[in-house]
Amino acid sequence: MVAGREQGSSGNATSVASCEPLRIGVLGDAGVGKTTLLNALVGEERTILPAGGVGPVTGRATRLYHAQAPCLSLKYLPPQHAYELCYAVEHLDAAGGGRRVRESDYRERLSESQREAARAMATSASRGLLAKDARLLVVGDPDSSEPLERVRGGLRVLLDLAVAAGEPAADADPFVLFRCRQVLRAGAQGLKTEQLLDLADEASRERLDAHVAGPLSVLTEEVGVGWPSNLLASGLELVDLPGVGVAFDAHQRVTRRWLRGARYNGLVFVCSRGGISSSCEGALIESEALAALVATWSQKRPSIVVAVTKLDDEAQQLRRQQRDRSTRAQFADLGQAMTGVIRTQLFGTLRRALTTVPEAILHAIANATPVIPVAAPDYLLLHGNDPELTPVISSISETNLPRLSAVLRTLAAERHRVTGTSEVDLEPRLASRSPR
Amino acid sequence: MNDRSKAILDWYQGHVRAIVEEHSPERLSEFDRESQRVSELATRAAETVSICFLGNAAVGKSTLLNALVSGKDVLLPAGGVGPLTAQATSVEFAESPFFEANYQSKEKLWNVVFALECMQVANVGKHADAETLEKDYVGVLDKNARETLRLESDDSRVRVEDPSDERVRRSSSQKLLEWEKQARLLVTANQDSAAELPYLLDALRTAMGMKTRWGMTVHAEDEANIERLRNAIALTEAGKTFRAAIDLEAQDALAELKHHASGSLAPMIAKLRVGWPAELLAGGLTLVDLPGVGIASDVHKEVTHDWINANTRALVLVVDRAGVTESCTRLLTESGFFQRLLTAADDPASDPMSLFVAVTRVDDVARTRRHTDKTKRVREHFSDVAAELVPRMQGQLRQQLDALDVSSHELTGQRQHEVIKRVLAELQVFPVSATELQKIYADDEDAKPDLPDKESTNVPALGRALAAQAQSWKQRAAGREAETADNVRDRLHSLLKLTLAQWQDVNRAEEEALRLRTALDVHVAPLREELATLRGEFRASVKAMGSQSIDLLVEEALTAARKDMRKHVKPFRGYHYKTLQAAVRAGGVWDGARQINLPDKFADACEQPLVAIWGTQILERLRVETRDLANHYARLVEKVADWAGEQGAQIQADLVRQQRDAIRAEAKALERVGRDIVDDLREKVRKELHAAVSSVISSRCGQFISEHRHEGRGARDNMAELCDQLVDAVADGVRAKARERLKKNFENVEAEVKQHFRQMEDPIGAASDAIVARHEQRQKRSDAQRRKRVIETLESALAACPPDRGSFDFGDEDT
Repeated sequence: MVAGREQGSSGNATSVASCEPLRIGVLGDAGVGKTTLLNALVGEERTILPAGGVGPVTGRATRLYHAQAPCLSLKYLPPQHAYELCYAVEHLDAAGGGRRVRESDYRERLSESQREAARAMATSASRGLLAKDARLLVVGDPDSSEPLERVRGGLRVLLDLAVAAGEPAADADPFVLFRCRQVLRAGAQGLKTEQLLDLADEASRERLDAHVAGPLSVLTEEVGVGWPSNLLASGLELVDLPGVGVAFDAHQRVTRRWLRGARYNGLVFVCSRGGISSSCEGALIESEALAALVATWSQKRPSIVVAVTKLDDEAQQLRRQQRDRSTRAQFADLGQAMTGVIRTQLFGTLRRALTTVPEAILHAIANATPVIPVAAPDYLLLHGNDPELTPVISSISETNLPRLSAVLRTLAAERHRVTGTSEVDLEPRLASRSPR
Repeated sequence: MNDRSKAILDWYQGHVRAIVEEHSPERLSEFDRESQRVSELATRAAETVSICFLGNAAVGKSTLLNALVSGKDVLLPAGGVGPLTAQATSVEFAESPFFEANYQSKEKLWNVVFALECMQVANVGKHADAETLEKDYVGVLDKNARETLRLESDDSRVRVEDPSDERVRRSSSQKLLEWEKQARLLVTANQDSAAELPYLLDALRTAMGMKTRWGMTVHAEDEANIERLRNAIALTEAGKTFRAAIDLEAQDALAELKHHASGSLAPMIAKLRVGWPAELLAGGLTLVDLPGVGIASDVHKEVTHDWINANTRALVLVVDRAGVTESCTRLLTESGFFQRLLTAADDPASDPMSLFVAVTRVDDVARTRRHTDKTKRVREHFSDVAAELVPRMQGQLRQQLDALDVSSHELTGQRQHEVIKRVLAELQVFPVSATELQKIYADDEDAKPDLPDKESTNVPALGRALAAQAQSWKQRAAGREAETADNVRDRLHSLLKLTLAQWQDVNRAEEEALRLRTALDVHVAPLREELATLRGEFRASVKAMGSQSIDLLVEEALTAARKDMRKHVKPFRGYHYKTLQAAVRAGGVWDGARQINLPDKFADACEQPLVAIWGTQILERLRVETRDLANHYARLVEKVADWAGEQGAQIQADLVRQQRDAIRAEAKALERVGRDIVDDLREKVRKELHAAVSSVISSRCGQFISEHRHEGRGARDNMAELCDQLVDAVADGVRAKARERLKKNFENVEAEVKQHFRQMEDPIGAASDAIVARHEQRQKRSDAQRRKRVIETLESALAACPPDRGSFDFGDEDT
């Protein structure tokens, strides 16, 4: 639930605002560089979240919050979720000619309606996603070519269900097995853990990766990473959302669900020079996220910020065509031009999403939206001081990371001053459209 | 055309055609047709092979193409903001570089200007203006076009209570917004410039030779753009293209190309062709850069869609490390590319199709990894990432092909799995870095490459694979050309030998001939009977394949289609009723937050099983039957030849063997029956079905609306129900069309088969005649003078025959 609700409960809005950090989601196409950007914003010279993999990497919404010492907090899904997955996979395999589903295993563990939902899932168009989730959990790779019957067997082993002699079963990672059993024991409220995070320690890092991007993301409801960052200390919480736009990707469901159901006060769109993608727009419109954000819009406190990545690459391209301008000058020019492009696109998106809001307001919103070209990889390089790599942009300030950081800080600071009064006069029905 | 084919065709035209006309006139049309086919195949083999590049906007298609084609020159515009490529640009080989632009029609430009002027008039709000504006355009745009455009531009401004109406209107005003951008680009070369609409309109009027209306004059800095536009209009009016040589020595050699590809003229371009002296392209390869997909409300999507639709046989899917995007998958599915890819892999007789995947910016990932793991160099990370990407991309594509869901149809379902396996086994994935390659070329202090050499960027490997693909297709086409030419040569050769032998064979005494003939007739009597039975069986089974069975097969296909369609409309129940309402109003098509396109989807759903059935149930069986019959013919004739051999030297058994070989040659030709008809069928079925489906849907929707069932209580359920009913209505509606089309096709194939069998009307009689001519034939050939002349002609024709390629080889088909 977004700020829209705060307005409704105006009585304690101020107190909520002063103690809770401002929560901002980071949304963009898979592979556009959201995680790299967040690493640069929060970790500065340290790489916190796993980035640079192939395929969509981030599998769970990952909350970055302020903490005195680095820590990892995990909240797992209740065991029913895992049983549902297993039950659906069994049906999927049985439908493809595999062995019969052992219904008796699930009668106690799942309600009739849960079983029905799982069966429906196994025959729906998105059944491919089921297999991906199962493969990720059991084999560690959603796109592996492991036969479904072996995945099914492996899944049963993980969930401590009997496996017949000769029934093929893929072997899961021992740590996944261990965690899976813990989740099963924790019961309906789910398992919660919090531990110190030491990124220099290989095991600690692997644990983080396994939950954010690896097999355990399937069992995880929420991953939080606490970090002693100045930016976060200013009263911010940043949520790295799985990228959208990759075909048949299980992760983007997480993003859509989050956009629809979670509480957040703003969004950072991350896009490349193509601008706002149809997949991002689709996720926004479907989740009705924009309606809620726009309801609290004001010039002083924009709830949308656009960060444009990979312009450093484009700047290099242009530099090759025009030797008389330096790459950094090209980068600055591109940033300028991009602002116009993005605002036009954003206006279009807003118009399609919010058909009842007067266009003048949408224009004003689009034109007041900060568009910041960022060069996160260069920023990391400038901090990292690696002799093998030469950054394209040669000064920290020109990477624009400090600028983005400043915009976010201002948002957080504004938040502390804001009271519960509505700043934009919109029709009441708009406010009622915010997600419930 | 290769030399041998040419020699064979020349030989036919120069020596043989007249002989065929004189001695076997019934076969003339057949040989004429076959030689025509050789020329056609030769033309195809000589054509360049086009390979399209498809990917999301800004993923780096143009950069990759540049790196492939021109190395360090930046040929195609790359590295700007927003989606850059607005039209398909093809790059082909040329010794001296050039580019050629086809412009949009003048009318298209008028449309844009008129619609914008209507909008402007409405902005100013004077009613009288609307009338005078109308007058300006009399004779320029026809009345209907004006009407529609005016309504669209007016509508975009009207605000109404019903939000779904608002959506419909906004989608048209989106178009106006885009048009305004185009006008800006045309006049000021900057689509985000601050120029006011009246200025843009007057500038465009100036360019088009119409008097100005808004009291503006063209600014000096825009004059060059207007001049360019004026030239473009003049050319398009004259039906000409713009062609310019690229002078590499010149200061800004590519400036004019830039004006076209991404500058002020971009909105005017319909097609852009670039010729470039690239080694890669020299073998007859053309690369096509398609506009990127995946940008919200992108108007260039259609261009891309059209290209992929139109018989694209090879495609490079350009993706980044995240993998294959929704937008690309949607396009490849909707345009039928995936489907065609699978069908082509399933039917070895059809032309092959290919899919390549290029993963761009792999160097970025490598650098990110280097940041966390300094024990390896960037180049080592690069090869790690590259190795991981290959199975990942194969896995992603497997899921997409699996999800195509032709599996609801049993016939294709059985094979689909196998076929997908085959397609994936042939899929080539190239993790590349075009920017690294360019850095290596550029050797710039400002940007040092992280990879050691050109080869390690994998771009050259991709280039080689594409060139090899083009080469193999050309070879295949050339192989088919050669095969057909040889077949023609062999058949002609047999015919000549046969005719010659007949003319030489008149020396026998009349009584002797009579005796032999009687003995022969006795011997062949049972063979004739057998032949009659075989023929009867053949006719019966062809007939069985025909009309009745087609009706059944169509039913089967429609059952599968219904299943597919149901599946498609099932989720509609969860859609917002406004979305459904908009779709129902627009005849089943709605492109809003949800994309609904019932005519396309339904036509697809019907087409796929129909074509599958045609290929597997009808054509395949017909091919088997005809080949069997032809082989039986050859066997029977062989028996006649055996008898002739037993009679000793007095008979030329060779002659009969010639005949048998001729039949074998025919049998081989029969294997090709229907090969060209599958693709043809797909095209026609699609077109006809689409029309039938659309009309069913729009009439049903119209009726539904006229009954006001789309409004008020229960509207959503009504509409969901309507969708269900549409499934059956469509299946019923296309039934007749499908039957008619398949029957027609069947008739065509049958005719083709008959044509082949015509010259084998009476193979045994012909063989008998070859052994011992009937009396009247002998009479005809007894004129010594004429005989001498004929034999001489025949001998000289045979002497001129291009040499045999070797004995018949039945095994080298399509390998």
